[in-house]
Amino acid sequence: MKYYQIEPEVAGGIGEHSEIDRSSGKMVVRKLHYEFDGWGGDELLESTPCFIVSERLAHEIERAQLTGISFDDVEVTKSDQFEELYPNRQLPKFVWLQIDGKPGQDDFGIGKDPGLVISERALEVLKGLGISNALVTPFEEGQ
Amino acid sequence: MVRAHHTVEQQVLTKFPGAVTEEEIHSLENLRGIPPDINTDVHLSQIRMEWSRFYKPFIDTDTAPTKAQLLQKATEIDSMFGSMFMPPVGG
Repeated sequence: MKYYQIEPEVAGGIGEHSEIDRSSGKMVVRKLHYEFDGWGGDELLESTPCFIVSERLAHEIERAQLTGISFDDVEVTKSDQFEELYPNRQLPKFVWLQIDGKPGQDDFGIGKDPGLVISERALEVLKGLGISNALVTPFEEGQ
Repeated sequence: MVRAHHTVEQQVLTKFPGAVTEEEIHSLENLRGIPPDINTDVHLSQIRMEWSRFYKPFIDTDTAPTKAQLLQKATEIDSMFGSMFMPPVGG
């Protein structure tokens, strides 16, 4: 199975309604608020260290039984900049894509150095719904 | 109409509390004018990805950038994309 590193589109940032726990010394997001500043149309989006996917992409991921992920709710809002750039643009529904798989083993894996790593079959699912703004490069074991 | 863009992103306040103040984020020095250009959002998207790459190693190592590091990255981004702003910056 081939694997790929992917840098998803960054359409905005972690909003002020997020709940972030730093009690362990690490940044752990307990509740995610994603605020859009723009949107190039990709259905997998990032704001480090979180990822969101459109609801319809989530359904495709579930249907393909891809591993290394779970889903949770996300609050989505549009920033003033978004409203000015796209006063009439509607956003689809999004969900929080939580990744706990291992890079090079699961369909979705995450690590410090490689970042987000996806399998070839995960890439096919993502491409089917659109990730034209993402950067995708082959992942070599040991990276 | 020219719109305002924060060169050091507002979300730094959420991701790295204490790195900069809210006053510094909203200061005139941190604002860039965005022209009403159809290609503007392509550039803004590239800028967001640049910042995302910058944040990752700090989040991965549970550290935070210093104000000097944030300003250095902002200068680097100005040099890459400053020509799109009104007025142009980063020459």
